[in-house]
Amino acid sequence: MTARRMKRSFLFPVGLLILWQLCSVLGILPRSVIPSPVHIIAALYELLAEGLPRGSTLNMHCLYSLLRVACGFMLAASVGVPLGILCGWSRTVRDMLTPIIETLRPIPPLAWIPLAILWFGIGLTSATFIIFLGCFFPILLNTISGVVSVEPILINAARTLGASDRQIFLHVLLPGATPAIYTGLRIGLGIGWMTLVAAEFTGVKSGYGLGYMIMTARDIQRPDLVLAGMAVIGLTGFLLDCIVRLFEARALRWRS
Amino acid sequence: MNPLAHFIHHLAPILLILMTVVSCSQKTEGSKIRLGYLQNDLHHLPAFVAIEKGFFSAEGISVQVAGVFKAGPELMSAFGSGSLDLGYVGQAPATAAALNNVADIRFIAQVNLEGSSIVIDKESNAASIADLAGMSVAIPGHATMQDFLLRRAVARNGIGIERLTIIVLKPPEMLQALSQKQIQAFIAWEPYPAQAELNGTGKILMQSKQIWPRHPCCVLITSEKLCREQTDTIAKIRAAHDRACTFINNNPEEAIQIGVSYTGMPRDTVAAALSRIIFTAEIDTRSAEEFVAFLKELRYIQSHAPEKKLAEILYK
Repeated sequence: MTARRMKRSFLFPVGLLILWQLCSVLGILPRSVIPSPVHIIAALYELLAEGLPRGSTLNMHCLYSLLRVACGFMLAASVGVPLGILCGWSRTVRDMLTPIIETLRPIPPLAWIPLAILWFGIGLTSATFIIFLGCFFPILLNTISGVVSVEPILINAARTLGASDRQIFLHVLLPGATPAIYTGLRIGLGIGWMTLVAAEFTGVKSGYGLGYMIMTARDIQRPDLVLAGMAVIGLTGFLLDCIVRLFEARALRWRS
Repeated sequence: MNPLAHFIHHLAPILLILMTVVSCSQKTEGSKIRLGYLQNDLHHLPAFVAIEKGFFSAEGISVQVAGVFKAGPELMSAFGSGSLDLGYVGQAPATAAALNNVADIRFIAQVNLEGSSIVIDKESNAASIADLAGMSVAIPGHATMQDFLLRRAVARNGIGIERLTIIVLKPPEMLQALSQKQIQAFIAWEPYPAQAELNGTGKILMQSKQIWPRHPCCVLITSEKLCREQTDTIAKIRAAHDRACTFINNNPEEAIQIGVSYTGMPRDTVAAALSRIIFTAEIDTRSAEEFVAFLKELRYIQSHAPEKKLAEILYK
C-alpha cells in the first residue's frame, strides 16, 4: 500500500470519529442513544479494568470468543473447501448437493439455537456449531465458484500436453481456484464473527465471551459498553482479515 | 456532474424518504397510546385482561399494541427511541434503563409481586439452597430480579455465589437445558417454573416469596412526556390497570382463560403459575430502593445519585 493510500485509509476513519465526537459534544447525538467515541474508550477501559459481569475482564472475553470462532471457522474450512472442490470438480455431486445447500443456506444461524442446545448441549460444541453454520456456506460456495470458473481452455491445454487428472487437479484446478477459496475464507471468517453473539446466546458455561459480554451490557442497559464490545469484535475481525490477506498474498505470489 | 454531486443527487431522495418514514413511525398515531409487553409472560396478565375486557376503552383511552417483546431490555430500548408510550416490563430492566439514562420514563403502577421460583432437576436430592453449592444454575440475565433473588438466597444460606456455576440462559432454553442435565437448577419467572413442574422436568426448590416476601417484579411504565403532558390520561391508565388487577383477583377462572389464550399454554400450567403471582397496582417504594441498592452495589448503574433519580421516576 502506498503512503498516500495508507494516509487516506487512516485519515478518513479518524475524520469520521472527530465528526462523531463533535456531534456528541454539541448534543446532536445524545449520549444515551449513541455514546461518543470518548465514552466508548472509557467503556473499553471499564471492561478491561472491572469487567462485565464484574470480575470478568475484556481480555478473557476476547480469548474465549477467539477460541469459539477458531473452532467454528476451522471446522467450516476443513469441510467446506474439500466439499467445494468436489462439487466444482464433479457435476454429479454438484447436482446432488445443490438443492440441500440452497435450502439450508438461507436459514439464519439464530434459528438453529434451540436445536444446537438440544443436540450439543450448552458450551463450546453448540457455539462452534452455530459459528460453523455462519462460516460454512460462503466458504463452500466460493470454492465451488472458484473451481467451476477455471478456464476450460487451461484444462484442455494441460490435457493436450499429456497431464493426468491428478496433475490437472493439483497444478491447474487448485491454483486457479485458490483466489476464490481465499475470498470464501475471508467472507466466512467475517460471518463467523457476525454469528458470535448468536453463538454465545446458546449459554456460556465459562462465563466469558464477547457476545455474552454484549448481552450482559444490554441487560444492564449500557449502550456505551455494548458499542465497546462491538468495536472489539470489529477490530478483532479486521485484524484476522489482515492475517488471512497476508496468507493469501503469500499463497498467490505466483500471480504477480 | 462530478462523481460526488452525482452521488448526492441520487442519495438525497432516498435519505429524504427514509427520514420521512422514520419520523412518521415515531409519532403517536392520533391519540392512541402505544403499548408494549413481553411475550408469554404471565406477569403481564393485567395488560391482557385490560385489553380483553375493554378496561382501557371504558376509561376513554385508545390503546394500541405497538410491540410484543421477547425481553425487557429490548422493550426499554423501544422506549428510549420514543416508539412506546406505555409498557408492562420487569422492574429490573426498567430501573436500569432509567438510572442509566437510556429511557426517560416514569413508574406509574406496580403490576405484580413475587412469581419466580428456583427449580431443580426432578431427580435431584437437593433439599435446601445450601445444596446448590457446586451446581450449574441458570439465571435469565445479570442484574435481573432473579439474579438478585438467587444472590440473596445463597447469601442467607451461608454460601458464596462463587460456589455456584452461574449460566445465563433465556427461560425457554432453561427447561430444555434442565431436561438434558446441562444445568442442575434454574431461577425464572412464571410460567416457566410451572411448566417445568408440570411436564415432569423439574421440581420447585424454593419460591421467591420465601426469599423476599412481596418482592416487586413487574411495573407499568410510561414516558416522562406522557406523564408531564397528559396527567388525566395517566389517571385513566392507572384506573384501567387497577381494575384489571382487581378482576384477576376476583375472577381467577376467567383470568386463567385469558392467560391461556395469550400464552397458548395448558390451563393447568397457567393456573399453577398464577397461584404464585400477586397482582397489585401499589408500588412499594422501599422495595424499589432495595433493588436500586443492589444494582449500585454491583456497579451496574451510572447515575451518581440513584436514590434521587429513583424518587424522580416513581410517579406520585
